Amino acid sequence: MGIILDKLPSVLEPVPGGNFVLACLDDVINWARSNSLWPLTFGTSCCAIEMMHTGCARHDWSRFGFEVNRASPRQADMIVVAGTIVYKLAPLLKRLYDQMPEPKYVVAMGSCAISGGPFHYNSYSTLNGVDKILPVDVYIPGCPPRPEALIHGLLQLQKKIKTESIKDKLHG
Amino acid sequence: MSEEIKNTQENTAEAPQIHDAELHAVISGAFPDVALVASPQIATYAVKPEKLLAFAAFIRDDARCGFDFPVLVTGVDRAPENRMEVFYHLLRTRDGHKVVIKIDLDRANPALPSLAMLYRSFDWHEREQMELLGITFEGHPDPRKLLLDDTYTGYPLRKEYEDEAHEYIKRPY
Amino acid sequence: MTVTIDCCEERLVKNLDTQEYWVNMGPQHPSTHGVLRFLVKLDGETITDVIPHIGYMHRGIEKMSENVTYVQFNHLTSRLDYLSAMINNWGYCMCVEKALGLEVPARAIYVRMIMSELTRIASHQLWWGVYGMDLGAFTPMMHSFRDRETINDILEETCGSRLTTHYIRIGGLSNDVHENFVPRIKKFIDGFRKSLVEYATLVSGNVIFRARAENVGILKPAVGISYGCSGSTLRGSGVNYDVRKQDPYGYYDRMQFDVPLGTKGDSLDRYECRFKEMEQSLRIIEQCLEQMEPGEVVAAKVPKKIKLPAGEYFSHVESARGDHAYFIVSDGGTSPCRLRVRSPGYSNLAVLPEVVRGWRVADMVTVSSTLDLVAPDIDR
Repeated sequence: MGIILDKLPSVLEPVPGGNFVLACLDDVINWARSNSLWPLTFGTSCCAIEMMHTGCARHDWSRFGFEVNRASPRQADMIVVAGTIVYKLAPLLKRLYDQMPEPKYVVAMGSCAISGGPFHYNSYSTLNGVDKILPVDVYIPGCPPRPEALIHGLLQLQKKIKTESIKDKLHG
Repeated sequence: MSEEIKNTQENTAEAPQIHDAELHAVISGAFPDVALVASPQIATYAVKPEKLLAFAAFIRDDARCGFDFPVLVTGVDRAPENRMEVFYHLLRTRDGHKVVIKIDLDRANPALPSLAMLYRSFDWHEREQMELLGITFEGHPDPRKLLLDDTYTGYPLRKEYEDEAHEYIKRPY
Repeated sequence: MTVTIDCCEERLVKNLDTQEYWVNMGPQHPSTHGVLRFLVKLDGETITDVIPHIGYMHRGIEKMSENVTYVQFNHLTSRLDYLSAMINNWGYCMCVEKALGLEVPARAIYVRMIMSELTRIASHQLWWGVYGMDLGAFTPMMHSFRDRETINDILEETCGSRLTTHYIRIGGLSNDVHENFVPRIKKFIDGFRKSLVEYATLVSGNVIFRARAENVGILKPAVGISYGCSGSTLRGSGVNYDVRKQDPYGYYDRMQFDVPLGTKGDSLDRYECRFKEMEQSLRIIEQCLEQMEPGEVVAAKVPKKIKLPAGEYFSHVESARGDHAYFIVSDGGTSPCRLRVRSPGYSNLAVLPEVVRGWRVADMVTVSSTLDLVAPDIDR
């Protein structure tokens, strides 16, 4: 498949002395942001292993720009919540999210992050879905989702980012 | 004692089935008032809380027993019968033989001495049973909460546990 | 600064001392395997104490078991220690089958053994790759995940799932193996044997690796046994305890395989034990493939509604991390009265303060990596 980089919508005007690119500011910003999202290393359980598989050689996600996993939330663009969140961990996850600078995106990977997963019923300590504490952008179902599913979800996130505008309050 | 697949026959005879004859001879010689309990698979001995430390030290240190490996501590809440039980599983590393110590407790005030200094593994196991079931292990060196945080009141593994602070959707089958 | 390690020393809860300082590691950290939090007390760069805090993945699986039936609980066992999902499934199914007196057909047991050993290899490969990453080397991770992907393909073709498999059911298996199963495994074994030689040359002989692993983090056998460590963590100290040998289940007593033991109990010994176990797993798989014959894969009379007779039932298996046990207390109903799971990581983590005291901060990460911890296994 190869590297996905959309052509920058632009008009190249040859003028004497050089070229200049005429494009919409929104498009340029969105193109730059979506193709270089750096995730925060945050995996709690089984989905984290599939996330590691996605990062390794066969389903390489750095082809799409998710090259570097940053350990510090101050340097990360998005957080892929992979795994079950319990009540003891929830305040810490919220704090990590708050520490991330804008624009930031949240991907809920796996059914535990979407709704509590297999632990939804009868568990006294599972948070039933990470969207109770964080605003989620993309939900990726699966238990655990295949690496291809995770890549599909992340590409959907890229598409979502391309529809943003600097006129929006959040992510603007 | 080999782990064969046994038939599902309840031990309704007067004497419980002896799974490990050698061990039974040694224990009934040293502790005549400790009773063998009916159990389908492993030799289980019912010990009173007062005798627990002496019995456990004997089981670990005596050369004929030598059960040095701590496997599990389990607290069981028998709410309909108004009692609790604690099971200690021990194992011998040289040949894999197992023994179970069972202690019966009153549900209103479950307390027994802690084996955490004899078997260091039971330190964490007992802490977990303390916070989940409310059993007191006297003499435990570090009785803090292990798995739960401070927003939990009450004991989650008890049968009547109700939770207002956390969402607990119960769905019995 | 040398600190002597005593077998049964008192652990007192101290107030925070103002002279030495505490550093918090985790729960979100690039190298704690899962969400574990360590409070490390430092004197300069030397560790004087470590207090692990767990519970950040406590999902209450034991409480959940009281409201589901025995068949419905099976899928949760593979989410306990997801890297040895097949082995966990087998441990639980074995407990129920022994209680019911079910006789599992021979072909099912051979397939269970093959799946367990494949899972063990996959888990050790992940550990090896992540250990390399903790030391700062990225190459082992790429190699090991390539092998993991091959194993995942084999598992997926037969049971449909790569990681949290629910293939081993009460009474046997969910379905018979795929027709490509045996040729693919044979091809994998040939390739993997050569890879193991390559990996040994790549990492085990490396000067930097040996300097960071040799004589670091010594676990004395008596301390290890008292803390209930099992698996390669304990075998690295020279204690010969492997559930497959001492208390055989399945047809492990018919298999010829060695149990690698260490001598000193340092990180290098634990590493070598775990590494050599992979070769032994290949031997077991080859013998199983020879001895396996076509036949049924599900027991003849599995009851529709499974009710265990009242009593206590216990079974344990050798998972990739150590001694994994299930203890079911039944009062005759369709759900267990109490289901207790013994996870090997629980005890392996408890011994960490004893092992790492006196070493440097950088060794903290590598030593805890040799203990092979998986947080959901610890917290259940």
